[in-house]
Amino acid sequence: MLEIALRRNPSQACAYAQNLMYKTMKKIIGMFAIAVFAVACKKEDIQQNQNEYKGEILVNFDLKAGSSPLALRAAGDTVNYDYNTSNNQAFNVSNFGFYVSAFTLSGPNGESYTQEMKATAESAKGYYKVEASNPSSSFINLDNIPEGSYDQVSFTIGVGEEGVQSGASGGVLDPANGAWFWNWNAGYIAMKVEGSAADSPQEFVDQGNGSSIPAKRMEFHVGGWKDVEGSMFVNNLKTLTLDFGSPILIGEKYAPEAHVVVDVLPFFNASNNDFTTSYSVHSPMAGAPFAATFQSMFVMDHVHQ
Amino acid sequence: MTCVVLVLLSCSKNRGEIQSFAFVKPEHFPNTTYDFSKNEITEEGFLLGRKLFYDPLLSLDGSVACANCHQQGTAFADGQQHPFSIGVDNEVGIRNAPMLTNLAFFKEFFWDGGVTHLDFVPINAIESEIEMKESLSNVVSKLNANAEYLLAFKKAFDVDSISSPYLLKALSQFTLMMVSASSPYDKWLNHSGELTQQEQEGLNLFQSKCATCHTGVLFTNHEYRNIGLDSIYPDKGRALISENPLDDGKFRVPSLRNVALTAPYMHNARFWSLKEVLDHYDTGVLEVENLAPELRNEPQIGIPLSEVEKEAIISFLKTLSDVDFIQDQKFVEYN
Repeated sequence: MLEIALRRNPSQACAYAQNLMYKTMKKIIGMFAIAVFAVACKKEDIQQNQNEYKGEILVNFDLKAGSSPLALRAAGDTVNYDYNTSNNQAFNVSNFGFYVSAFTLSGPNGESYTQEMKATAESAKGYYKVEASNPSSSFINLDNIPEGSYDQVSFTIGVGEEGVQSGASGGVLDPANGAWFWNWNAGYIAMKVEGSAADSPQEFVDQGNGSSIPAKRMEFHVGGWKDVEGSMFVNNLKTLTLDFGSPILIGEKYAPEAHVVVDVLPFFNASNNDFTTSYSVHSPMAGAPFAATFQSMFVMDHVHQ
Repeated sequence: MTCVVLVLLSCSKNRGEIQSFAFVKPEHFPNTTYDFSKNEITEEGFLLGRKLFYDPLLSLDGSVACANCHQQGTAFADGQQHPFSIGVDNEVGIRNAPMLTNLAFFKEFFWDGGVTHLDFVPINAIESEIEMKESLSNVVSKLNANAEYLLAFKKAFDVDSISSPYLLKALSQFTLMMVSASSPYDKWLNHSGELTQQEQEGLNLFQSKCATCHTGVLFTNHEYRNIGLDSIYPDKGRALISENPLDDGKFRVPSLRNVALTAPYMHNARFWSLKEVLDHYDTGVLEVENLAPELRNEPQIGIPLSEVEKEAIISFLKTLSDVDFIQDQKFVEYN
């Protein structure tokens, strides 16, 4: 604005600048007043914070099948079956991923950290979508953590009520930008496993609009977030708590990295899935036996201090 | 202190200027369910929502706008000539398009209540194969290629590129404002109008025979009921969402505001007149397993009504037609 005023009329610009300075001074005084007020209110917090550095930890989800890194095949590939279930049914994976949110850390001496979550039209803070097809999505950096010793991390697989009921949101929750969203039963899919299974009875379906369902297709979409007492609604959100093994230090001098192995095999083995009858899961109730396997899929492998 | 007072004064002055674009909760209505703190209604946002509502760009081939099936003259239900709405490629819908009225006061949407936030409602129409048949992401691409929309989103939300949450929030701003609360019944409630003797008798009958489900000023208890229309359910209704077989054939208890304007009736557009609806409750209710307990009456199921009673109830229901609402100029496309 000052620039515009200068171009128009240099003598007016001077008056404008003075006016601007006056306004700025007023603002500064106002801000000072607010600051004094804030200090008065939050004296305790601030004193505590003065002794604290804020640290970070990188949580790295290593997506695997058994002990090997998860291999992705093209959708519809019925030649290369990389894996077998414990029922000896061959399958491959074309797509695997999950939402993770609500990270917290806790320590043996009462340290605690809760990551901020805020879903708005602009962004989805604290919500992450980890996808095998997007390796960088496996690295989640938690920051602004009070310095201290921590021995546990917990997180929720899926997007809870607060996220859904924030309404249309951006970032990884934007359905026009790849979010896994159920339109008909509004909510986000907590975990997807898709691929081909040798025993899937799915036949090729031409859907007429350029898309098709390949033969031998298997699709498992696990979602559902509602808790309604006295109803049959299924809440498939799972909050998992993993131990670091021994406490780790978080603070200015440290850059710890926690490696959580996510093994896709228990998804089918712990649910005792039989592809001949179970190959297309798209509702909360049908997803429940698979949500029950999340606990066995996520294992704290190791931590670099 | 003086500063604070001045700020307040200047705010209220601004509000006065855009009065018609502010959301006003009618005094006799319950609290809103929509969280306005996450989507504050502004004139720019409302006008953008309106532009989108009337724009067939939202559909695959530019043939279907929201307004095709939600017309102001019928309280934003579809016209009577379309008991099931017509989508892209003349595909025909499977449920009667509901009116859009007082949405700020509802927690669940659609006949089966599958959507729990108003922002997510339009995605269903946009992406339905038998409605607008378009992908949300493609709508966003089309909007981003349109200079008029880029400017309108910039004005409404101060964004340089358009993303789906802003599109959906703009549509919500428009539909949230669809408050119908100035019908003859409302005027009677607020002591600024009268009901005829027949309407009054109809109201009394309604309160004793219908208001258990069609409760309160919104005329719904927000629940789901099977009213014995069918004994088999090609459309399972609420059970599609709740996955509970006891909910087979249950559908939302609809609000009855503007009901005289929104024929045909029921999720499957079964009845063409309010008389037919009342005849159903009187003698047509099928005794099905999931029947609403309110209709499981002795010695006869349903709600026995004499012809005189039916006429009175219908005359009362007509007092819920809100001419101010269906003629409100702010909802008109080019105003």
